[in-house]
Amino acid sequence: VSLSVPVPLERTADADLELARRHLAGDETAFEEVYRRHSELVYNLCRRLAPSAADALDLAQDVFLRIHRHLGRFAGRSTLKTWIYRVAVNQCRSRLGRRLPPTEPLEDRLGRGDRWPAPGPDPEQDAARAEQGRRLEEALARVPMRFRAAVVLRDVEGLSYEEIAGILGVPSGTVRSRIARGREALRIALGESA
Amino acid sequence: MSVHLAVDWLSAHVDGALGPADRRRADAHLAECAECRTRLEGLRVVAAALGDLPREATPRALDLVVAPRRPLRLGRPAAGPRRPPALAATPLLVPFAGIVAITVILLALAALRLPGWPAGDSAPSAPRKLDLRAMPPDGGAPTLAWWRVDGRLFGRTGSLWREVEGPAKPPRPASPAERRAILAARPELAALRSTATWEVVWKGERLRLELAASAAAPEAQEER
Repeated sequence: VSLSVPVPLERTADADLELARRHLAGDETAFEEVYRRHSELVYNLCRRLAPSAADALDLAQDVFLRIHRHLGRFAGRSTLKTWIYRVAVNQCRSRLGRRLPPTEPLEDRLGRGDRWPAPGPDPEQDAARAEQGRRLEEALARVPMRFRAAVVLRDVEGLSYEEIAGILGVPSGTVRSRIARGREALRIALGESA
Repeated sequence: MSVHLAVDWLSAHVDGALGPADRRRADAHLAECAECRTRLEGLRVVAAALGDLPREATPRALDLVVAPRRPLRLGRPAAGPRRPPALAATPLLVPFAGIVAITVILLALAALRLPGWPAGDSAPSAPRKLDLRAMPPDGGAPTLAWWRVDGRLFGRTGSLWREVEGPAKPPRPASPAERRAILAARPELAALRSTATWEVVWKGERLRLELAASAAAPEAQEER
């Protein structure tokens, strides 16, 4: 049976496996292709999970080193993109997870973070948005890594609960809970800094 | 109202991830509870603000280190970006293109903290940082791309990264005799005339090598 509509090769799981096979066989262009396709994704994910651009650069280097070392073991049980997300998140967790300052339990602070401004047709909205972005990045860096990873994958990367569950290796219900706690921590932090 | 919706429910509501029955119950509560409506709106604003964070282009420094096909070699002219045909056909512009290419490479190396080996007696305190140094393994062609992760050193031969060492030990300073022998064997290092301290592998051992002219002083004393 042949497909009447050609499927772009680069979007198929077969293409991902072929990349891994070529890499394993010593074809250096396979890793180049992986880097070309995914470097921006990896760097931006690291940028949102790491506290600074310098840390993100270090992490992205480490991620691509691990990808280079382990690409040959990619078995196609997920898409290569999901696999790369997993490598990146695991690397960020192992590097940054222990570095975070201790945080106050959320339960102690619920209900006290209602000062985060709602969007409105303010003439100074552009400047305010830039300032919000800066405060958001600062607040994000203080969210515990397990919540931060979930909320970044959901709200920055736009992944589904199921995709995030596959990347983090936890059930969808846990993903839902972590996203909620990450967002709530941000809402409270931003409300308090407003 | 004393009982409020759990934050899990509110967050799932933002994502449209509640089942139909739960959604009806949540909406019924929200219609009556201003506090939960405020929290829901706050979560919605946070999610939208995260989605609005700008995406950044891959930094040039990452391209330079990770992307193959950009080998930097010591002692040889670095391969600059391919010139467009119009530029290649204009002989007067060729020297300027070379100057621009060299400037770009020097700026990139500066951005990558080269020379990376600090003058001192100990190994870098943060070994996972990017290190660039001249350390040809196994007598191979000298390359300028090295990557240290978890104390393990990886180098690029051609465009292939491979592990060249296990856990790092601090290199010992090269003796004057070793310094002479290394510079004789690897003139490209001497040509650098750098004030930096470099790490080399010499007869299977990692050594710190001072390239600065002042480093030759003990050598002269020894010869006397």
